[in-house]
Order: sequence, then C-alpha cells, then structure tokens
Amino acid sequence: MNWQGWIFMFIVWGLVGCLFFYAFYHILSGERIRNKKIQNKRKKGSKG
Amino acid sequence: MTGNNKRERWKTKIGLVLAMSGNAIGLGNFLRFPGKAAENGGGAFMIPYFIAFILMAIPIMWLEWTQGRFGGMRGHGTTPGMFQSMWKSRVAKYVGVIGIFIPTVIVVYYTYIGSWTLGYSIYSLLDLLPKVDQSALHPGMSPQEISVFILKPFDDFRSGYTGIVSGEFLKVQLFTYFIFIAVLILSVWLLARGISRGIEILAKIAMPMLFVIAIILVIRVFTLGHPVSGDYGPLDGLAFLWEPKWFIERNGQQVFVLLDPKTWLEAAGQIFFTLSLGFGAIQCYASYLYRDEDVVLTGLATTSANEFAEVILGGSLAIPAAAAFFGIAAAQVIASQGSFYLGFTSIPAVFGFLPAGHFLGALWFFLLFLAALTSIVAMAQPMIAFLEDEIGFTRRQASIVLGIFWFLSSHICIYLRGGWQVMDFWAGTFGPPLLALIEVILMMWIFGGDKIWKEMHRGAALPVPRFFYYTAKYITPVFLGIILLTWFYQNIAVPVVRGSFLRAALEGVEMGWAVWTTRLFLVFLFGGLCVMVYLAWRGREAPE
Repeated sequence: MNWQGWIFMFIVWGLVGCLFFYAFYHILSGERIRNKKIQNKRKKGSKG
Repeated sequence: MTGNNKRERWKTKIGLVLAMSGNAIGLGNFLRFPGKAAENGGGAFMIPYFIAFILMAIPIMWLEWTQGRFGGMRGHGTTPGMFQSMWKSRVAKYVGVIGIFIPTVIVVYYTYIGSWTLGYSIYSLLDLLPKVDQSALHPGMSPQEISVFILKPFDDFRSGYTGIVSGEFLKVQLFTYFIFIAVLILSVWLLARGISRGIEILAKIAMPMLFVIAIILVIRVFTLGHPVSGDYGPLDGLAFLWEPKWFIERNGQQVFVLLDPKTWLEAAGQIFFTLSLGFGAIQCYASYLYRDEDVVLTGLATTSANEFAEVILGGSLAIPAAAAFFGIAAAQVIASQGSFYLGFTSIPAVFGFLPAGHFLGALWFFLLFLAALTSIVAMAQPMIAFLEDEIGFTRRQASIVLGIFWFLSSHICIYLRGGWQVMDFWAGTFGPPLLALIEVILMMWIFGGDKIWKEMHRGAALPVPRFFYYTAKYITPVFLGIILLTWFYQNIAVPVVRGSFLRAALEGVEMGWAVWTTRLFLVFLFGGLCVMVYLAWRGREAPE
C-alpha cells in the first residue's frame, strides 16, 4: 500500500475508533455510576 | 393516544445502544461497503462518505432519536402518530404512513435474504458447500480463469440455493424454504417477547458475539500471509480498498472521482443504508426511552458502533481475503459483481482453501446472520408498535397478525422473479431519502428548529455543537433534495423522455407480470396502511 493509502486508512480508522471508544466509555461509565447509585439505595433501604 | 404510562421501556442503556447498533449493523456493513468503496475510488471514496456522514447522517440520526422519544412520550411508536403530534394538519398522519411502509416492506424481503446466511452457515458447518480443487489455483491466473475454474461451482450452488429462474417463477429448494420459516418463527417469537425481554436480550447476546466473530475472522485473514503467490496478500486487498484513486473509468471515460455525481450519490446512499436512516426504525426504538433519557451521546454511540463494524471490520474481511488468494485484478472483478457474489461466492471459496475452512465459513455466515437478525427485528418492530399503539392490539396479537402477513407476503420474494428486487428498489432505495427529507422539513421548519433543538438537549449527556443546527436546517435538506432529484432524473425523467417508461425495467430486473404483481402488492400495502391510519384516528376528538 502506498503512503496515501496508509494515511487515509489511519485517519479514518483513528476517527472512527476514537468516536467509538469515547462514546462507549461514557455510556459504560454512566451505567456503572447508575448501578452503584441503585446498589447504595438498596443498601440504605435494607438498613432503614 | 396520549400519555401511555404502560408503554414498555428499555431496561438498560447498554441494551438500548446494542439494540440500536443491531438495527444499523446489517449485511451492508460487511458486503455492500467494501464493494462500493472499491468501485468508487478506494480512499478517495472516503471523502464524500465522511462529508455525507457529517452533513447528513449525524443530523438526521439525532433528529430521528429526538422525534422517537418525543412520540413515545405521547404514546406513539411510529411516524403517523409522531408526525401528527408535531404537525397539526390532517394529512400529517398519512404522510407518516411512509415510515411504516418502508420497514414493513424491507422486513418482508430482508428476512428471506437474511435466512440464506443461516442456511449457508449450516451447510458450511456440515461441510456440504462445494469443494475447491486445491491444485486448480496457481499464481498468474486471470480473473476470468478464477471465475470459471474456482468460483463457478460456488456461483452455481448460490443460484440453486436462492432459486433458479423458470419463466416468471423461481424454483427454490425445500431447505431454503425451511430455513426461511425457521428465521421467521424465531423473529416473531423474539418480537412477541417484547422490548426488554426479546429485542434487548437478543442484542445483548448477538452484538458482542458479532464483534468477537468479526475480530477472529479479521485476525485469520491477516495471518494468511501470501498463500498463493509472493506478489499478493491481504495487505494488497487493504491497499485496493484504501489507496485513493483520484481518476477512475466510468462509461469508458476517465473521470475525476470527486467531481463525479455518481460517487457522491453512492457515498450518500451507503451512509443511508448502513445507518438505517429514513427507515422509521430508529424512531420506533427511541419511542421506548424515558422522557429525560439522553439521545445525543447514545445516538453517537450507536453510530460509532456501526461505523466501527463497517469501516474497520467490514473493510478488513471480504476484499483482503479475496485479494490474498486471487490477486488484486480478480478481487476488483469480484467486487464489481456485487455484494452477494462477494459474500456468498468468493468468501466460501477462499475459506475452502484453508484448514478447517468449513468452520471459518460457518463463522462468516453466522456473523452475517447475527447482523441480519438484529436488523430484521428492528424493521418489524414499527408495525408491531403501530398495531399496539394506534389499533389497540396486545403485543401477542400484533405479533401474530404481523407474522401471518409476513409469512404470506414473503412468498412474493421467494417464488416470483424480481420480487425482492422490486421491493428493495422502492422501499430500500427510493423510500429512505424521501422519508428523511420529510422528517427534516417537518422537524426543522414546521415543528420548529428551536423547539426540536431544545427537545434534543433534554437529558443530553453532551451539548450538540451549534454547527449541526444550521446543518440540519439548511444543508441536510438541500443534500437530500439533490439525491432525490438525481434519482428522479435517472430513473423516471430519462425513461419518460426516451418513451420507455412503462417498458423500462426500473428495478433492474426484466419486466414481466411478476414485477407488476410485486408493484401492485406495494400499492395495495400502502393503501391498506392509509386505511388503517384513517380507521385508527376516526373518532379521536382532535389531532394532538
């Protein structure tokens, strides 16, 4: 593959990859925080 | 119908993201994209592809998510109700019929095509696909020789599996029919289980599995080395796909690829097809969101998952595998023969040369089946939602009614020559840009750009750059208008001027009564849906 091909491929892969990991990182971390909140509520509920 | 508090909801956000990704990721990601990119300038094709992605796909995607959530809060899971909620006109709900017509027609033929992948997977697993003659392949074979000596048995097998033309009919094997029925029953069963217990669970299992299988196959393809000749390997396939070709040959003339309208139309068409925009399915899934649930980041996540599957995984499988065994010239010929030739003829032949190739072939077709199944349930869901929300059926009743219609109408695709091509032409090619144009005008101009912008940002995890507001309002409709006008010019105006409109095979298949029967079916279906909308709204006091 010539250098133009490598550049095109890495730019596109980089953009798509970054978008993918950025979006899923935020979705999954948001989900984890939500689950923790639910667990804490349940713990408090069982204590009360 | 307003304020339906009993409306089902997605159980988890990741389940929603995976289900939406499953809706978008289909056969097109692994079969259509590599062929289109290779045909239209390789790396150069990615320029119009990404411009269409930013100026058209992302704004439409966010608008569809927002419209879906907006409609869902008012008890509407489909576009007739959503359009009526946003546009206080008596015709709004009838315009919205397009949004149930498109997915319902697509699901009819897509289920049949999707069932081929499962059938092929079983054939491959049992090692019943044609055998390759290991000694027949040698370096320096021309594309024609490869087609005749290597690929022909696989092509004949495909014709036998998908139906041999006999007059206006297709002769289909019993096994093909049996597998189709199995896929249909599985889909109806999943739909009858509902959003969180059916579609969400399917997505949580199928989507990770799809990514894992795709990664395994990509690794296998790139560890092939130079199986036939030191002159070509999988990296040459990547080069074929990614090296920008600024000048390509079209109709015997060299054209600059970025100034050729066809390249732009192909790029925009691919973006539409791959993200399932203008299908009415995104709105339907989004209608099961909670009122303040984010649509911006979640929408972006599903879009990025689709692009990951298409550009990174899809681009690294079929073409590099074909190039590794058959060379660049033959890969080019294979890509130009279309998606089915690439996926169902060339890839099984490639795997046939490898140890445990039948197992790899089974994985490849199972990957395609997972992609197809998650899209099938997404396309069927709008009709289920329509029957539930507007007609008042229970989910079980809606699933049974749709299942019966689905079963009966699929016979047009199975047994009539050109049946599924006609459906694909009107519902899969012409319909989505039309619906998307209507949606954008409705939301940005009739309902109000500022109102929809505010609605989009409710519960949003990140702000949408203002750039997209102006893009959605001015650029996206113009872009869509150009696509539709070009389509109209090429497919309607030119045949009319030539005096061959009624005789012209618009859908790319030879004319005959089978084509007219399918067209008539589509007209009756659209009319029937309009009548159902009329009956559903009759007696409602006033449009919401």
